[in-house]
Amino acid sequence: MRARETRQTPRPQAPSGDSAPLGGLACRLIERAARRTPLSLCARLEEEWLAELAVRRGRLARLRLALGCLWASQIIAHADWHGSGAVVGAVAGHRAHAGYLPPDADWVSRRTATVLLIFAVHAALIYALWAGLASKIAAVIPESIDVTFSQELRPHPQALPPPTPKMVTPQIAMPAPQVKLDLPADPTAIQTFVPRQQRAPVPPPPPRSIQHPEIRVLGGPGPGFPDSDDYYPAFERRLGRSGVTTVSVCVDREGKLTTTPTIARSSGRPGIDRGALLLAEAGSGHYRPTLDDGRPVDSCFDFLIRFILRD
Amino acid sequence: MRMSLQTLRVLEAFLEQPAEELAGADVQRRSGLASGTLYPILLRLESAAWFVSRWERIDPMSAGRPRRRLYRLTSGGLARASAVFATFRPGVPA
Repeated sequence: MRARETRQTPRPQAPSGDSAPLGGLACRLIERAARRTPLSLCARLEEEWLAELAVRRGRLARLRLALGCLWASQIIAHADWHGSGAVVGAVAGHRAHAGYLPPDADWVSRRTATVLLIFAVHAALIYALWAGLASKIAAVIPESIDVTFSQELRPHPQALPPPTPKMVTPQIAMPAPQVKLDLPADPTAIQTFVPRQQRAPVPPPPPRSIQHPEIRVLGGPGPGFPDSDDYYPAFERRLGRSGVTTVSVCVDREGKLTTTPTIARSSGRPGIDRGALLLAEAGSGHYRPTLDDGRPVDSCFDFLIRFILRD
Repeated sequence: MRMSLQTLRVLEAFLEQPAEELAGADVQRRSGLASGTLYPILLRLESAAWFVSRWERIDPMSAGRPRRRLYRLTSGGLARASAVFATFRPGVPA
């Protein structure tokens, strides 16, 4: 029989309204999950998980937490706590229960149960086949199957060559055209066409004043800029994280930093951002300055630094 | 102590501010782990004395919610976690 710790805090109530059914279900799942854990952890985990459930917002979030706790209880129940029974007791705050008491269902491990189940299914199948299922199947299947082929009495038509297409030229009766020409009396007279209104020549558009626009080419990383791989944060690389950080720098006409680089847009990972700042600082002197009409000038600009994992 | 990727994420969540006490929901939010993965790791690290935990000292009636379990890195746990991350190749500190 399991002794439960007397709770000093009220249990979270099932939420009201439309989320009540799922909230109650989540509570029940968590209670069930906690009961699967070792005795020394049962009361603590139930209270801890119900407290976490109370601060969750949304039905799905609560249900997800409850299902996660159910999964966690499986892992905790089958974890190798045997060598640290005293620690488990300390963890639970039950030093009196320092000895590890396995849960009721732990007399057989999950793996053993699975193997036993597989053996049982195989044994049942073998027994069923041996006891008569095979003979019943054989009785259903007829011993011989008579197959008769009916010959078609209709003579097989001889293969005839495909008919040659006959080209027929259609006979179209065209009525004879009747053309009546009213010719002038003097066929030598030449009529000249005079346009009604002669178009005035369109004056050409006035020449535009050609002004040379100021062309500005923003700067960026130039030749000799350090490789981002050398500044990839080790921890982020280990965790398989990538990221893109937008860094803002101010560079003089010689490509050297004039101020400390800052983050214009974070990647969301502090480690990635720190790596980007270090890379931007290390690139001082290797920036391509901004060009105004081809002349390098002091300027500030943003550029992207990508830390992408490569295989 | 087996250092899985998930364990490293939990440690990283605590190393952001090592003296801070975090509830399970806080660790879950920082590490991005599911609760089914998180709690066994928390218990394992606590049983190995990397963490200590205590109940939150609040009045549940006035707070309107039950007390939560708070976890904190021990000094030994902090040293060992730092040593784990120091074994990565020297470079930008994460």
